[in-house]
Amino acid sequence: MYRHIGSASLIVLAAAVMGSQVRAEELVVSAAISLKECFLSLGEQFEHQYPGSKIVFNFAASGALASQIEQGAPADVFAAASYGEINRLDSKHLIQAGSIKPFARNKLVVIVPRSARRLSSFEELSTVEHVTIGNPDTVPAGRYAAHALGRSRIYQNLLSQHRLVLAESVRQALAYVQSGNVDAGIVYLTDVRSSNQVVVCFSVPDALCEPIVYPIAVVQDSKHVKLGLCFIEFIRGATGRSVLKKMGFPPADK
Amino acid sequence: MIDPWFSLKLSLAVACLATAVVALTGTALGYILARCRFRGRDCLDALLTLPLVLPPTVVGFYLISLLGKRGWLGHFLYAWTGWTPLFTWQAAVIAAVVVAIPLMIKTSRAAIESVDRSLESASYVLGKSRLETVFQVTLPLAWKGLLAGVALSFTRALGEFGATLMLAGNIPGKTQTMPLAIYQATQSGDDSLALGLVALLTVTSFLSIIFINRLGARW
Repeated sequence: MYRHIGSASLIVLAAAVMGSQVRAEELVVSAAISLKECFLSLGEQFEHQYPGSKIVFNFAASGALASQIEQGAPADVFAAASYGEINRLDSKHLIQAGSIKPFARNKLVVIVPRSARRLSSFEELSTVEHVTIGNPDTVPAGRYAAHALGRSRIYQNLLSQHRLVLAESVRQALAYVQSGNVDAGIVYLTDVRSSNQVVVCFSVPDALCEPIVYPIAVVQDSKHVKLGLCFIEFIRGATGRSVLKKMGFPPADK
Repeated sequence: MIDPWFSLKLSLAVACLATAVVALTGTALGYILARCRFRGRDCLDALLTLPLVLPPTVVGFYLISLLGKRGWLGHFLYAWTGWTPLFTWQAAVIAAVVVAIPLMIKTSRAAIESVDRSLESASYVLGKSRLETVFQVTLPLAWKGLLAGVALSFTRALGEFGATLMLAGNIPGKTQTMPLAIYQATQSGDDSLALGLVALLTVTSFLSIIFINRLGARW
């Protein structure tokens, strides 16, 4: 008897869950993992402002997200940490024409574990045992970092001495340093905000780093183009700007 | 940033070393589980099977908690020797051993259990010690099963990805094994390189199994 009540209530619960999913218009947003906290908060506010919409986030390294979209993964909106990924998709006609818009900027910083010796210059990175950056092939933060290291001529050294630990996302690089298992890392300034286990030594000088701009666009195969464009306008609008700014992302204008 | 031949050599070296460790300890543990009666045997069996059923990321997490610079064991190791296994090729071996050993234990236990006990009894009656019986009667009779365990362990070690990525990291030219190189090539959209690496690893695994099976047929 109890078993019947149990399974009956399960069915009712499942029906309720499925029912609510059917009613809402679901927008899948693939976003660079550095945007996680910011977008989670903005997603909630967007759902509030557009009743009947439901935002589902997929956070990962921009390169991994781009590969997923190339392979046909469901995504309506793509927010990347670099134009590289979004242009790659655009050249394969996987982005809605003309929907690419910049919406935020960021900065790179050099971090060390809280208990470790502070570094004072880029050159000092060659004095520690291991340095972590995102994998330049898939992680924009890693590509920016590799570029900056290359300009100060220490990238090849780190690479050939096998001291560069490549992370699958910028947050993994942060985690490596947080745990104390890697001696130094290069991540976004915004990543460090929530962590009290790492110390920012200095920001990567502008002269070494190309400008970091986040673009957002609607994916070609999206079935919710209109809602996707609304989301992009929301991110670039007053609410989006203020939340992004609060979390340390300066706005990008164009 | 991907060097296929380096990755292949590293993967083979890691798998060989791990298999050597796994073959010795796995057979010993398999024998203990098959032939010894003691309290907590079922628990030990379940515990040793866990790495087979848990996601490799969970295994990796445990290993980092154990061996990391601030890990339970790792911080002593680091304090005494200034060395940490993290981000070294040794870490890849450790990860491969942990994920492969349940396969060896399972197959060797089954192989040893299937050895006729009366033959072991006869050996004792003829005055052989327990150790002599193990090496002259039990293990030779269980040989085929043990070899199957070695083949499984070797190929599992060769393909290990999750725990390796967490413990050994992805350092090109140092800890980038074949599975890591394949993952990186796929993630960066370099499909032709990924295809080449996949083919290379498939052929290597295929040849390894053939080689180990041949070894078994000869005895």
